[in-house]
Amino acid sequence: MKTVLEKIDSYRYRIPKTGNMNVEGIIYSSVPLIEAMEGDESPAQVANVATLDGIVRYSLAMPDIHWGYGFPIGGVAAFDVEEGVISPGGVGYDINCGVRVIRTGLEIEETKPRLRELLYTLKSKIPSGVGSKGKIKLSKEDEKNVLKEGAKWAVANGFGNSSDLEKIEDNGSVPGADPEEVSSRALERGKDQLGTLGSGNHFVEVGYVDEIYLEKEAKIMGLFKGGITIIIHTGSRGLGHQVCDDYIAVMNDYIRKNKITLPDRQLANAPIKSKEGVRYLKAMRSAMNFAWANRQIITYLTRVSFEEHFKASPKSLAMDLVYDVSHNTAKEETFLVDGKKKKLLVLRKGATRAYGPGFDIIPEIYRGIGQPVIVPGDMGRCSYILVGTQKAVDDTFGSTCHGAGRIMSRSQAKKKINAREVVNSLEKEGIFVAADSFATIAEEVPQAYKDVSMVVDVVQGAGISKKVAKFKPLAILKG
Amino acid sequence: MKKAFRTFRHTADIGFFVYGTTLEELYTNAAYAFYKVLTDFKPSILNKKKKIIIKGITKEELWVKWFNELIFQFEVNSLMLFKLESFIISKSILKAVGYFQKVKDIEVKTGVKAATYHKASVEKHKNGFRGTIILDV
Repeated sequence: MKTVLEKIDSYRYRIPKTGNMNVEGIIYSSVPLIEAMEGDESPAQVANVATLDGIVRYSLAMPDIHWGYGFPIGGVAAFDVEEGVISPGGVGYDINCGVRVIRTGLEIEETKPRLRELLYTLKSKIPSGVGSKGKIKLSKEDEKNVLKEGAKWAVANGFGNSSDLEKIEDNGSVPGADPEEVSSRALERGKDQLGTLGSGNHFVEVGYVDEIYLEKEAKIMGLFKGGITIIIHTGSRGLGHQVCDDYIAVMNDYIRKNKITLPDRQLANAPIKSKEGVRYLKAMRSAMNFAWANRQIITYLTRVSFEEHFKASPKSLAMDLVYDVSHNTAKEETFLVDGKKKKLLVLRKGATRAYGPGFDIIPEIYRGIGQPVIVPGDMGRCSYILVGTQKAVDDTFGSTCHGAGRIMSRSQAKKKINAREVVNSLEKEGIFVAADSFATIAEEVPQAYKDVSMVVDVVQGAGISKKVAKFKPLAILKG
Repeated sequence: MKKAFRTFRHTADIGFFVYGTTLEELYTNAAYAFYKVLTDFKPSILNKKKKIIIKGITKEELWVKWFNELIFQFEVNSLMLFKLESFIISKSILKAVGYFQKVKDIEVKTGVKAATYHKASVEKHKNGFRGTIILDV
């Protein structure tokens, strides 16, 4: 049965509260994006999330929404911490998949001449692809420290600068992590994967600032037109995937024992304050910290690559972290609900935190302008950096989109599109791509994704984020 | 020749219908489906034998856990299943002996994070069984 969508305004569609829904659903989108969603089951998933206990106000989805499992990708839902539930499917398998931007003092003209070489230097230093193993060998003790300390562990062990930490959500280390709640299987999967990119839609992209929309904000971020930037997109690797899988099984047990019916098994959940809920949050936070350590180490390897290529130190190249955002998380945050401050657990699955100016959780340097939000597009078009707004805090639990969102399945992309032709055509435009296999490139071609500009126009139009700058790609290392 | 599996559309991930005249064949074909996503390499040398025990409360749980076991063995131990023997399955437990090949430096096409419970099922189908699974890639 097709899910009914009622247009609220130019950028929002309502799913009316029906059946077992506790709240209504709201999808941020536009007419062309909604039309492109024909056949995609994600609106039904927004409605399913609305049936969960303790959900507050509405079940949300951002304009990059697409079919997930249980929760849609692009979904946001907030739960009362006293009465609500936590579902590992609401965070996803790649816990704390996220993205960061590094700015540099380099310009296009000095970078373009030897781009292919730079790309291959990055490829030689950053382990990528399925089953890639990192160069860092962790003892059991080390691994547990990574899970407790996150990016702080990485910096303390020589992978970056302490000044990087304040430019990461939660300073790259969320409290409340407990490695004892992470299974030995998850630890096994994670132990050789720290400092690796992974595969699929993960990447390291060298690009440049193509356009600036907000001069003051861009200046504070250290961005200038023609300036070279690096975007890094990766997450918690096999460790995070296993944590999610382990706790879906735990929640399934809970659901069974308590005879709870769900519209989708992947929505298996338990009360936030239950033994199962508390254990999952401790394990999830451990995986979040692993992902931050991972992105920090890849940043270090990127700086080393640039140093080797340009024969200049990262400091002299002014390779500074702009910001690091997370896409798949559950975080305790406080919002006004019916006029009163209330602690909520906000689940963002393929969505980004986007607080406006004035909030303490934003680094001091950005407190006057709002939290930076990074929205990567596909490898042929562009990516954006934006800032969050008070309207996001008021309307979407401080959330916005996270990327372009897929419109074509991986098998369709491989069947319909010739990856080699795509690579050749990108090269003619001056964009170089390196990957472990052509199959990866075929699955990740620009045609498989929505146009990220259309996605970003919705969040801008709805007032939940503001565009600061547009980046264009030059060289991409695909996972 | 009867088809072992076929894919179905899923926007961000990969979905399969897997077929088998017996449950043992179904589970073996499940491994072929998973490996087809992963790589064009076909295991042919049996150099590792492993006892497999998977516990679950429902047959769907066993089914999902089977794929996740294959993912784990490949990712951590570089093992690809060639065949199953001594296969016993009930509603809540699967026991088998798996013959694996330890692989090195094979080209991998697509990474698989996990098998999901979304639409996961095992049901009687025509003269055998059909399993449905969506893999998060």
